[in-house]
Amino acid sequence: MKQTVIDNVKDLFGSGFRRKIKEANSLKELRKRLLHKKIQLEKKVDDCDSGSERKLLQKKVRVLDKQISKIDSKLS
Amino acid sequence: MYKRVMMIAIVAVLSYGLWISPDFTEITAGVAIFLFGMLSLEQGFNAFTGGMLEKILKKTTDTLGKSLFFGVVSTTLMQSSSLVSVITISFMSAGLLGLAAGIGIIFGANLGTTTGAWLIAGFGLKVKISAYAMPMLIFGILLVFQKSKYAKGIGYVLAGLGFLFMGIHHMKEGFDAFKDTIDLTQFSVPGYPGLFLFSALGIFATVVMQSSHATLVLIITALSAGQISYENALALAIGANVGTTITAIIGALSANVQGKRLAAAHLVFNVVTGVLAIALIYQFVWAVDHLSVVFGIGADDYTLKLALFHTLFNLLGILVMLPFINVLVNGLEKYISSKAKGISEPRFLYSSAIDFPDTAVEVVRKETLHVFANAMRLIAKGISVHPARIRRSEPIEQVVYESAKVINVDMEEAYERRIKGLFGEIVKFIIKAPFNWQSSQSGRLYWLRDANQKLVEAVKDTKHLRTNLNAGITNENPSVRQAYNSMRIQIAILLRELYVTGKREDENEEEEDALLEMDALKLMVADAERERQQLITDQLRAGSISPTVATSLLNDSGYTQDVCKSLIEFGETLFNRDDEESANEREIALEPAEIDELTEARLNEANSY
Repeated sequence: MKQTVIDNVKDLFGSGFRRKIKEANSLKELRKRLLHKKIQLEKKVDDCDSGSERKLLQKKVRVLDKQISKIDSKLS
Repeated sequence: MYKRVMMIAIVAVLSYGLWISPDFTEITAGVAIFLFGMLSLEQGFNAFTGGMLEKILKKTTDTLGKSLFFGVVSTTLMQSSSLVSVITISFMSAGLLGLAAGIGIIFGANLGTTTGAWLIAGFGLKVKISAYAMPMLIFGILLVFQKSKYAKGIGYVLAGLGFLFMGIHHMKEGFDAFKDTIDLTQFSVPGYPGLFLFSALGIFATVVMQSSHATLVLIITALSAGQISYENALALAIGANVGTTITAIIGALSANVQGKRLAAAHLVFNVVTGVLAIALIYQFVWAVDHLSVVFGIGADDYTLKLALFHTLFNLLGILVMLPFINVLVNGLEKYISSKAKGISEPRFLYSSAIDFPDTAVEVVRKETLHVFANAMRLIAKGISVHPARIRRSEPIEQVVYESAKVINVDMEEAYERRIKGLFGEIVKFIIKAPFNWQSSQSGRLYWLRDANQKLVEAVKDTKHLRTNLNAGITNENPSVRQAYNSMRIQIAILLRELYVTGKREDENEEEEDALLEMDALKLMVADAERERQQLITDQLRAGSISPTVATSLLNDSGYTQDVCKSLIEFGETLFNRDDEESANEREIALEPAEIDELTEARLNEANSY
C-alpha cells in the first residue's frame, strides 16, 4: 500500500510527470510549427509552375496533415 | 636540428645548475612541479569541455563585449589562457565562431591571465600555501581514481592546484636560500638596455616553459626574495606576455586558416602591448605608484605593484587595439588567406577538434555536407543534368528536358577522387574519438558515418543506372525517353530538396523539423515508382516498347528507387539529432504503412469506394 501511494505521488509530482508536461509542451510547439508550414505550403501550391513540384508540394501538405493528426492523438 | 641543439643546451645548463647548487635544484624543481600542476589543471578543465564549456562559449560570444568578458572570466577561473586560446581556435576552425569574436576572447584572456599575478603576489606569497597543497593533492588524487568523468575532472583540478601551490612554495624557498649564497641583483641592468635584455629573457623563459604563468611565478618569487630588481622584473613580465603567444602559434599549426589568423592576432596584440609597455615604461611606473596609494598597496610591496603593472599594460593594450579590431580582422583576412582546397580534400577535419566532443561532431557534420555537395555533383552529372541548375530554383522538368545532351563523366574515377578519399578521412577522424565521450556525442559521430555510407551507395547505384540512362535520354523512341526522364526528374527533385534542407541546416545549425520533411520525399518516391511501373506496363500493352526494353526500364527504375532511398536515408541520418526536438520528430515521423496510406494508389482506391 505504502509503495503504491509513493508510486502514485511520484507519478503525479515526480520527474515522470514533469517530463510528460515538458514533452506535451514541445509537441504543442511542434504542432504549431507544422501547421504554420502547412498553411505556407498550401499558398505555394497555387503559385507553382512545375507539375512534379506541385505534386510534391501537395504530398508535403498531405504528410503534414497526417503528422499533425498523429500529434493530436498523442496529446488527447 | 635547431630543436635538438636547443634541447641539448637546456639539458646541459640544467644539469650543471643541479650539480653545483641545491638552491637552483629547489627552484627548478618548483618550476617543474608548477608546470605539472598546470597540465593537471588543464586536464581537469578538459573534462568539462565535453559540451558544457562549448555551449557557454557558443551562447556568450555573439558580441565583441561578450567575447571580451568571456575571455576575462574563463581565463580567471581556469588560470590558463592557453586552454582558452586552444578552445577558441578549435571553435573558429569548426566555423562556430567568427574572427572578431575570437580576437575578443583572446584580448579578454590576456587581461584574465593577469589575475594570476594578483593571486600569487597577494595570496601565494603572503599565506603559507604549501599547507593547503597536501590536502588538495590527497583529495584530488582520490577523486582522480573515481569513475565519474566530472569527479575525475574535479580531482585533476584539485591535484593541479595542489601541485601549483607546492611549486610556488619550492620556488620561494629556493630563492630565499639562494639569496644567502649569491646576490643576483648584482647582475641587474638599469635603463633601456636592461629593459630590452630582460624582456628578451622573459620571452625566452616563456618559450621554453610554454607558460607565461610559470614565468610570472618565477619573477614574482624572485622579486619577493629580492633576487631581481623591480625594474628588471617589469621587463621580464613584458617579455613573458610576448612569449606566451608561442602556445597559440603551436596550437594553430594544426588548425585551419581561421586558427592561424587568431594566433597571428594574438601575436600582434601581445607585441603591440609589449612595445607600448616598453615605450611608456616610466609613465607606467608613475601610474603604478599613484594607483598603489589608491589601492592601499605599500610603497615597497613590489610583487603587488608588479601585478598591478601587468594588469595596467594589458588593459592599455586592449583600449588601444579595440578601435582597430576591424582593421586587424581585414588585414588578417587579406594576408592570411586560405589556400583554395581541392574538392577532394577535407575542409573541416583537423586533428585538434577531436579534443572537444561537440566541436568534433560539428566538424564531421560539416564535412558530411561537403561529401554531399560532391556526391550531388556526381549524381547530377550521372543523370546528365548540370549540378548548378539543380541548385537554382528553375522548374525541375524544364531543367531535365533542356538537359537532353549526355554529360561525359568517368563515374568510377570521380567517385574515387571526390567521395572515397573524403569518406576515408571522416572514418579515420571518427575512430580517433576517445571512448569516454557521452553517448550522444559518439552516437552522433556514428550516425554521420552512416550518412556518408548512404551517399556512397547512392553514387554507386547512379553508376549502374547511367549505363542505360545515357542511351535512353537520346533514344529515338519518345516512350523510352519519357520513362528515363521521369527517373531523372525524380532524382533531380530529391537532390534539390536535400540541397535546400542541408543548406538551411548548415546556416541555422539546427534546422527545425528537417527530419519530418523526409516523409514527403518517401511518399514521392513510392508514388513515382508506382506511376512509372504503370507507364511501362501501358507502353508495353500499346506496343510502343518491346518486352526487352520494358525489362531494362523496370531494372533501371529499381536503380532509381535505390538511389532515392539511399539519399533519403542519408537525409534522415544527417538531420537526426540526440535532443528532445529530434526525439519528438522521430515519434511523429510516419511509419511505412502510414506513408502507404497516403500514396495516390491508396487514395484512388479509397475514392472509388
